[in-house]
Amino acid sequence: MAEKQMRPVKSTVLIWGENDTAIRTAGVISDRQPVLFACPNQVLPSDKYTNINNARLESFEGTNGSFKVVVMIDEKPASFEAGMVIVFPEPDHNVRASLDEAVMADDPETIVITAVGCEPAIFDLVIQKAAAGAGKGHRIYVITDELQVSSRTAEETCQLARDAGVVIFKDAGFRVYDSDSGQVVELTSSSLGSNDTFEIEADRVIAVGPSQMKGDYIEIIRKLGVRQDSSQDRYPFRTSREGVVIVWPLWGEPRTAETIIEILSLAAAIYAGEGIETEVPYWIEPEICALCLTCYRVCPHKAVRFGSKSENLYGQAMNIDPLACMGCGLCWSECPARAVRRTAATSPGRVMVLACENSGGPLLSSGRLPYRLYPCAGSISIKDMLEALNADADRLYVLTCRDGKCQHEYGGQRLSRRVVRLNNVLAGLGIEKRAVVLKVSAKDRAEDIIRKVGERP
Amino acid sequence: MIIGDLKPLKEIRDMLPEHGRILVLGCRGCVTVCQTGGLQEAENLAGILRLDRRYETASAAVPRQCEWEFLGQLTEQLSTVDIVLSLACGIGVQAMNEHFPGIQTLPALNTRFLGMPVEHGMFAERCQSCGDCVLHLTGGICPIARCSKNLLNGPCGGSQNGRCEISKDIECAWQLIYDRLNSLDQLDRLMEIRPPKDWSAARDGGPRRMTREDLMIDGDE
Repeated sequence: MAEKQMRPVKSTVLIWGENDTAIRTAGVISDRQPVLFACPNQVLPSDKYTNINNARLESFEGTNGSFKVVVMIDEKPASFEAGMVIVFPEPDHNVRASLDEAVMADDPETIVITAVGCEPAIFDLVIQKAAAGAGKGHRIYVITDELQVSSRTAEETCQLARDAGVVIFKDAGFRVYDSDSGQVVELTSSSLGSNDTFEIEADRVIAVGPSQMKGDYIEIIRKLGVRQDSSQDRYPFRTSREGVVIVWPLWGEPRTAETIIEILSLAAAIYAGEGIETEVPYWIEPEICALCLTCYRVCPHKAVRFGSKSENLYGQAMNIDPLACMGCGLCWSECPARAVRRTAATSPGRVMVLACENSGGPLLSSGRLPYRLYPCAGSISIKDMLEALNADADRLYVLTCRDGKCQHEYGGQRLSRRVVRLNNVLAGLGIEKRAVVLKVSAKDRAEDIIRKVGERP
Repeated sequence: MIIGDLKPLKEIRDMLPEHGRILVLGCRGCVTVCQTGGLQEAENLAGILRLDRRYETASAAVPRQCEWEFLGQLTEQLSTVDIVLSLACGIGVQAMNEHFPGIQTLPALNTRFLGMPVEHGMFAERCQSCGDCVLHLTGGICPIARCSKNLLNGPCGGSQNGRCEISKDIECAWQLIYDRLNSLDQLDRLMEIRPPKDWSAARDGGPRRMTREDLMIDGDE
């Protein structure tokens, strides 16, 4: 039930990598805890930890503190248990070399550079090279996001680049595809003035960012069940799956390696503590659960397990692991049997706006609109929306994150689709009430939202 | 399991009375798993109908809507409503009408087929309950449910790239059967001669019944 739980955790740390920082991290952590060092190729062995060379990740299951790993070593399976996994992916191209080659090309080219989720030093490099390229006569577009340019020096650097003729999009959703003449970058950006899509026919597209990594590591990350998340919302290097840490490539200058290693060894020590006491935000009633597997499939953090014995109808129960649960509530809103229960209390009363606390929360804190916050828009259920619509309001506003910004992978997307379904049913039954989704972020002005909500439909 | 989905809303709207008290009744069986008729869907639909001021609504879900004893639990609640809108499969709707002839139970779902989830949110037909299973002969792929033409003697020749000529979304069942038998080294099965299928075991033979006589106790022995 809603009580604190203790669970023992394994202190073994599994590290995948081959670069210098990976090896140094393994050395530091192995002073205190057992370390398995796996490499898709080969690294020099060390006495301090177990080396697994020519390794391929075959399967990965379990939750924070008790992962079950099967690795193929020279194509023979070997099973391990680990409490934590740290991956140091290798980049798939040398950013400096790619940028230099592009900038130095003789014939003027249209070059699109995408830079999202990079460390500040790398982003500065990208902008400098872009400015140099524009100076040489190339038409350069840079696509990035507002988080990337939020560092102190970034805005200044960008302005210098703009003066040199570089076009910078700070908030574009984009897609790259091949066409007969080369590559086309299709993008939607509100800084263009509307929500229309704009296409750039590029001679060259250079992608700079954490997702540009060697194939071996793309496969490892896929098997680990975490998305290639270029957002820097998780720090330090946490991913959507608690206990799995990814030190994305291009993380910065050598002098930050010490900091990285210190952070990682600290995290490893914390995870390996005697057991972690934690409150359970969500749990599943085994007698109501239909074992439909929805919560298991939907959980962005892979925090749901099944297979443990139960006295219920199926002999097995679904379990939410409190050590892996990040409290987003998607399971709660998606459960068709209402078997997922929560400890969070809801406040009664009339509301006009339901909001994700990560996006809408800061905007609504002025308190002039009656609102209710949720850990993630994905946890706003149809029942919540119907309760709000039942009052005199004909319109209910639901605030969620902009596309690609959801801290829980796709909570905002699920909410949007839920609203579409709700509105279809309302319309089909001739009921003149609607829920309206607004995608917001910190760059929106609270005044605009308040005015929009106050408008007559 | 049984897969159903919500009827077109205009149909639901037309079948409901002008006003009244409605019980929206879900089922904790198959329709919970295919996300169309569990307790959440029942509560949601009841909540939505309540926004139409002509109706008072309540919602409930029984473990399986096809069991008399579970329906018996509803007797008291049924005396407080005028009509029942069921989110169960057709079996549950009929069981409700049989067990409670004094009140009408309407179907909010169309019961579509017997199938399984091929990915979360997508269900595909796998069995047509023909009553004479041949899966041991076809490498585990059903030519009745998965071949658009129910062919039993091999492909029709209309498939392209392993897809049925009727729709690219449908895999050619006989391509799948061939591939599987090939991988099992059982291609010779395709050359075996068999008598024609007994379709009387399917729906073609009339409404069916299955009895386990060992479980049925007569009055006198």
